[in-house]
Amino acid sequence: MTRLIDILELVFFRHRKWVIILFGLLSGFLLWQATQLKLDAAFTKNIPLNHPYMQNYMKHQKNFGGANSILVSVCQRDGSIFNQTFFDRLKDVHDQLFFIPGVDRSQVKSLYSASTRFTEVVEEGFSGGPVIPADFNSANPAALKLVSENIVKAGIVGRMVSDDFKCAMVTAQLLELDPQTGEKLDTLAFAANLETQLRGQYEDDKISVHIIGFSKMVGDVADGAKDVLLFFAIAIAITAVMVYLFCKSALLTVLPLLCSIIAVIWQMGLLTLLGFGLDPMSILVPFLVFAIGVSHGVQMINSVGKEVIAGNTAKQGAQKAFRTLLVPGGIALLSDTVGFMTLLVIDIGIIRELAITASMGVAVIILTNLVLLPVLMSYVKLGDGYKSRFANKEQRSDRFWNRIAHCSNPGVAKVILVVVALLFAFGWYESEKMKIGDLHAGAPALHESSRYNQDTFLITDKYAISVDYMSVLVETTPSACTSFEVMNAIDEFQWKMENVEGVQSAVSLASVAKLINAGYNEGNPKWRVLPRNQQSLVQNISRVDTSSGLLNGDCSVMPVILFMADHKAETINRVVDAVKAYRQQYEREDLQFKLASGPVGVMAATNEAVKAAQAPMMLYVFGAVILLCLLSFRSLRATLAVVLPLYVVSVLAQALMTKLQIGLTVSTLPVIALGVGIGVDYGIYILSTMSQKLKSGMAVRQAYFDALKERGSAVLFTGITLAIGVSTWVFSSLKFQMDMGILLTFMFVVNMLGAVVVLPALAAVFWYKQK
Amino acid sequence: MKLPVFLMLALLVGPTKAHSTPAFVAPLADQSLLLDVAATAEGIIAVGERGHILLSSDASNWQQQTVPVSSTLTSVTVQGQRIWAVGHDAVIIASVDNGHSWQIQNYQPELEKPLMDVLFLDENHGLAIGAYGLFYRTTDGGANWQREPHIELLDEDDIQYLQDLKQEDESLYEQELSSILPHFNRLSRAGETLYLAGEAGLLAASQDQGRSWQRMEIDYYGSFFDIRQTTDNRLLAAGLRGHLFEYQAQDGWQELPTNMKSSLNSIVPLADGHTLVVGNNGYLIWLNDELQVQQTEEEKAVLNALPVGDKVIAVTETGIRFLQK
Repeated sequence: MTRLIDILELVFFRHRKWVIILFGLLSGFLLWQATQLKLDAAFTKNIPLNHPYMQNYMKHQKNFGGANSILVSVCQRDGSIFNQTFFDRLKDVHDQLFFIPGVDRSQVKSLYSASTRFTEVVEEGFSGGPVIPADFNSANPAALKLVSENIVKAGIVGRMVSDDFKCAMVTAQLLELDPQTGEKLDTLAFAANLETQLRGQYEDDKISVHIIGFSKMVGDVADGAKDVLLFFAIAIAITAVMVYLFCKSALLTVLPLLCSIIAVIWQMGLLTLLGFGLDPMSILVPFLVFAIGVSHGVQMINSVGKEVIAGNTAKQGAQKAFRTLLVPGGIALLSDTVGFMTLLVIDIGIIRELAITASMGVAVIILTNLVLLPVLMSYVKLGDGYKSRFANKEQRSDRFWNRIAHCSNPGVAKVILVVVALLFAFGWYESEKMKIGDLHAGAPALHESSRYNQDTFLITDKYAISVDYMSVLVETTPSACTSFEVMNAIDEFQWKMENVEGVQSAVSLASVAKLINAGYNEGNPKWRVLPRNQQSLVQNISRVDTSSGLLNGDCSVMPVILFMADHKAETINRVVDAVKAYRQQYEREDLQFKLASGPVGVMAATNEAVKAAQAPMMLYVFGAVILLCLLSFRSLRATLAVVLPLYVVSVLAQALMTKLQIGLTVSTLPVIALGVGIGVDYGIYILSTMSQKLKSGMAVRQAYFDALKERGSAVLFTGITLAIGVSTWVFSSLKFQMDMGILLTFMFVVNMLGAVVVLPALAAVFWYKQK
Repeated sequence: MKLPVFLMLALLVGPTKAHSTPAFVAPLADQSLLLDVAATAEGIIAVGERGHILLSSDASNWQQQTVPVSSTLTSVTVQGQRIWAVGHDAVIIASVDNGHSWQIQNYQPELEKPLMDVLFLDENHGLAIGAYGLFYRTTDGGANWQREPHIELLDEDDIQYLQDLKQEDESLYEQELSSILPHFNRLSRAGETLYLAGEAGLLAASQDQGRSWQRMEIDYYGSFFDIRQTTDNRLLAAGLRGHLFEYQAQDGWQELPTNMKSSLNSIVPLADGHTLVVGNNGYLIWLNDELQVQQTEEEKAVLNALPVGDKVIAVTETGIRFLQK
């Protein structure tokens, strides 16, 4: 090992210029790559594609796609919609949406579309016509009255017109591929078009425009993610001030920051090279890379500074610092990398991407901050002024460290450990109550107060529309919809599901066929049944188009759509369990009830995947950390002293999630792995100094005091820097970033406290003979 | 030649032996599609889709009963402690204990025809009617139900055609008979007279307990869903698209202007001589000296109603409701 370090030292410090030139060239190239980086928010990345539910979902996506739709509700702020201004505005919105690229023009629907017709039962059978007649003149009150009557006859209240007649809806389906250019739909550009061309143009003090749909949500999330740039700037500024206060030298402040920013540039450039985009969720990675980089950089300038004060030249100091920090720093960064890599076991695209980008970013720091930084530092001239600034500091800080070293007094240690045990018990109890999934209404990525979620609440409130639905796909044989027996089985299934708490209503081909059957029998509700007569059944079904999403081309697959009261994990579980119990009893070879499609179906799969991933992820991340500690310390006691506080803190983090009503989701699941992976650094830095001294038989208290003197300030500083980097997210307009920010801040700060307070207490007990 | 085989099977199996599924007792049964309501010796009974039978003593709390069929029940009638309910799959079920337990008297899903109404003249003598002129009679409380073809309700050409056919081809005659008659929607009784309302302008009266019927002349060919004498002795008929008629001794049926176009499902005589007519889209017509049209807020179809004390309890497509003028 020492030989290897010797060689590396020789290579890097003999050819310092070449090292700098090489890094400069690489950085230039990767910076250019990084500028090509695109925001990317593919739907499929966020779901566990290999989960059986999602397999069913993907299998039938072509038939029942329709998920990528957009709903635009145009609302009269005061009074009802039946006035000229409103109808003209509605027509403008309809026409504008029609022309926005990406919209399937045949699927734009509103009162103004020709397919919006009413039918009524008359003595001769049916009669009907378009809801808005061809000669409609919005200035004519009589024409408006006629339209209002037609709306009621058409039975579209609750769908195209709100229950209170204050809003009307324009809906559109999106095309995944542009039919002319064959290019993939640019979701973000589409969302921006909606904002400028619809809301921007047509919302005023009389009429409001509310837009929801997956693409709009992604657009809003991406907009929110752009705030991150500001947070990044703030984090850099605060960190710079902190570093300056720490090292009292502008030049020494700039160098670690510069190297950390280079690490971020490399990481982003590598993303482009690997063909990834930057996802709103993995935007967290640059922060982490920067913060970790700075914390290791500070260890480096701390070490060099101490050598200079001790009378060495900057070059000698840098070389020495390189030697002493390469191994602990390397191990710490390696354990971060391994911690992130464990996330690869989770079969969700976005988490895997996070694992790859984060571990890559941290690995880059080994080069930038453990190699480039000391090489750069070796050029620095630290004058007498610098040395004098630290002259008195030594004594003051010694007093401070002496006080903290009390933690390793056996008496104090026992008290600390009892408190920790109590905290652990409390944390364990609370963490058991941690919920899986999203706990709040609306789009979980965004705050409840966001415009998107407010629009969602308005639309779900005013219309008989829910965005929280799950489709159970009934797979049967071709032409099964003409069989009374199959349709009746679907109808019975639907009714039993409607009776499950949390299901508000349901719709299927069977329930629609019943309504049509009543329609064919003069609208008499007594005929609202599935006819046993096959011809009648066929007649009913023939009125339902495949675009309804209730059947596929040969009606061998018919979804039952369950509208749910909310998408809380408990509700989802209850309904999923009910479906499973039902199919266990009634499923046959030719009649299968497949879970699940629709937004809540996706959530059900994600929840199950997240829940299943939690235990293995913890096992792997702790396994990796334990292995690395054993390898570097070759001591079980030292390993336990590092890992036990980490474990307590991860349990406390789960308790915090319970207390703050943060559910375990795709975005919060990786946090604990990240927290543990990075949190282990503190312990490694402190123990790497301590364990040598302990092995030589030094008393625990003295060993700890020496370790604090050498590394204490850097450890405290690291914890604070990391926490600052992520705490700015608390102000993010994205709910999940806020959750991640809170949890990571907690993990970083408390892990630091664990290493400074609990680790020495454990050491006092483990090495009880070395008083 | 499907029919003879089918008839043979029917003879072999007997009408009540076909397999039926018991109704699922569901928490939401009192919010499901309910089609008829009646007063029992103990309280109120409501019947509806999926074999739902609900009992209540106070009209607020409803208990779903265990029922041996899951066919949609369209009508219910009460005689003392005994209750009969009829519905789709030509089902007739009966209870002798105020509706707490039920036995199947008739179940013929293979007929593919629903029964639409049931009326008992006393504890033994009852009539059940339905789609395509389905007409059953029992004189032993429902132990045996006999089918009666009432071809006298057809016009003369059709009657002649059927009689010719009967001589030429018996099976073709049976087949034609099973679909030529209009739907029978409602039976009611006023003293010794029985009234029948049905499809395509069918209004008829019988003086011999429904053994023979005379069509009543009317200048309207839409369907009727109810014909009934009110407490102040007016004879009303209600039907498609808001058509409401009153019978005048001299001038026959005269239309009452309702100014609405939703089907009227039932005529409900109220205690004080007033009458309520209920219909689709939540339409209510309150009738005494004048006629007042009202629409419920939720605009859901009201199928029938029952005055209980000073309240009117209605069955609607979304369950039990209280109606108020």
